[in-house]
Amino acid sequence: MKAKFQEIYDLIEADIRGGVYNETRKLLSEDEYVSRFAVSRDTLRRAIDLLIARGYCYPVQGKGVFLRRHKINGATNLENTRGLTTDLYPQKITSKVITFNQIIADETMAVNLNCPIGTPLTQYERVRYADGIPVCFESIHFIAAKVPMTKDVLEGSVYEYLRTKLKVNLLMIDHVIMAIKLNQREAEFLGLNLGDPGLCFENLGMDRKGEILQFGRTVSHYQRIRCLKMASYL
Amino acid sequence: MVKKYKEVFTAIEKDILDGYYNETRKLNTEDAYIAEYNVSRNTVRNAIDLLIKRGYCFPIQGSGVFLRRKRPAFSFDLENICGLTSKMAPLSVTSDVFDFKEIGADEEMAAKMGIPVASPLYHLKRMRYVDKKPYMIEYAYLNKTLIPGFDIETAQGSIFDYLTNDARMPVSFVDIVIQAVMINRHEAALFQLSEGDPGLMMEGYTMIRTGEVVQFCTVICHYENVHLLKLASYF
Repeated sequence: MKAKFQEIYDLIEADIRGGVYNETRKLLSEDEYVSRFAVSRDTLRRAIDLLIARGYCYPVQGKGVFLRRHKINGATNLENTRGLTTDLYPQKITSKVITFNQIIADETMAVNLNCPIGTPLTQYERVRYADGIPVCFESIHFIAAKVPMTKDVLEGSVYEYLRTKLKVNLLMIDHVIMAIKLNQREAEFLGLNLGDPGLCFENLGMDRKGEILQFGRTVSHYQRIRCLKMASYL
Repeated sequence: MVKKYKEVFTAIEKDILDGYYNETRKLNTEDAYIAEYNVSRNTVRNAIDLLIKRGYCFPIQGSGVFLRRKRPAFSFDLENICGLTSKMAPLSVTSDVFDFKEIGADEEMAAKMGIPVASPLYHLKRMRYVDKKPYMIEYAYLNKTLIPGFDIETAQGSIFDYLTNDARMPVSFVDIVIQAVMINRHEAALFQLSEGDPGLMMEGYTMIRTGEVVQFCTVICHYENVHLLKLASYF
């Protein structure tokens, strides 16, 4: 069951993402939300604190809570990633599966996933398209025993599959972000040239206990993917 | 004055960096810290919350607070807002300032910084080295109305520290847009790379408490020397 403040958070977040506050760039007052949602002031404050922590808005003493630039021209938001399908909406995201295999961890993967050599893994590679144009190439390894995967899942959003079907919270992801030179294979998949820049993410996905479930490397088209990081000094 | 919980934070942070917890990979109990530092439970909790927020450790309900993996050397932590100088310590950070002038905001800069066109800005370009290796090139625009006393000498050092300590305009939050680009001839020469090689670009909006943009900065990072780190948040 969802905590009450989480429900309120979801409602206000949906309004922000839906552009309800785009003109004023400001949330409503506490009183207005308290009466609209019929909740306690405490619950409301927890919801707003979470919106602030996630980078949607910032408080100015005595004036209210103002919107940040939580969305920049389709940039993916590192604070609150929900997979490409949601991040790049309304562009239509499609995928082409390049490889899908059950393998065992070699030395490199054992280090990346912090598991013994020989651990069964599910490995896949996909090219992802936004409105038919290639935007990134993913190479992902999951620990097979912890995350059951089938090939048809890869046609859609793996993030949605984990969240809704498996009830796995892959909310904790450490990213290393770098610029690289594309190799021949990456360049072909992205429709670019060998040696062109690529925006590369190495992602380590963990569950709530800090156990590693997934290691992935995504190489994005340098002209088509940007990401947004919002940091707060609290 | 430094807040009590910040002092406790700094002390535990130092222990983590010195490897004091490397064997157990686990922090001490709240009670142990309360006794060690002679502070309240609340102070200890605030200190530990900040350690969690900065990506040093994570809590597991009922078991304690555990250390996270070590970060790669030279990595740039996106979570920790502070100047490059503090971020990279104990490695040395030096800067070459090429260009420093006062300009009026053009339409693009006015829109980015939320100020009227022709507002006075300081503009500077500088090259920054970490441990003497070329690290990043910065193109910075500072809002002169908010920090009239900024000068070229200040531009040699940490702008972040200047805002915090001298200008009394402490940074409240930062929005950063990250992408990969091809570097131009000028940047390639500074990095000793070739024109068209990759560069990791960050466009940073630095805001003070009121939400006013005090600095807009475009940074091009050396693609071989800079890794950005975005650690998961534990909320």
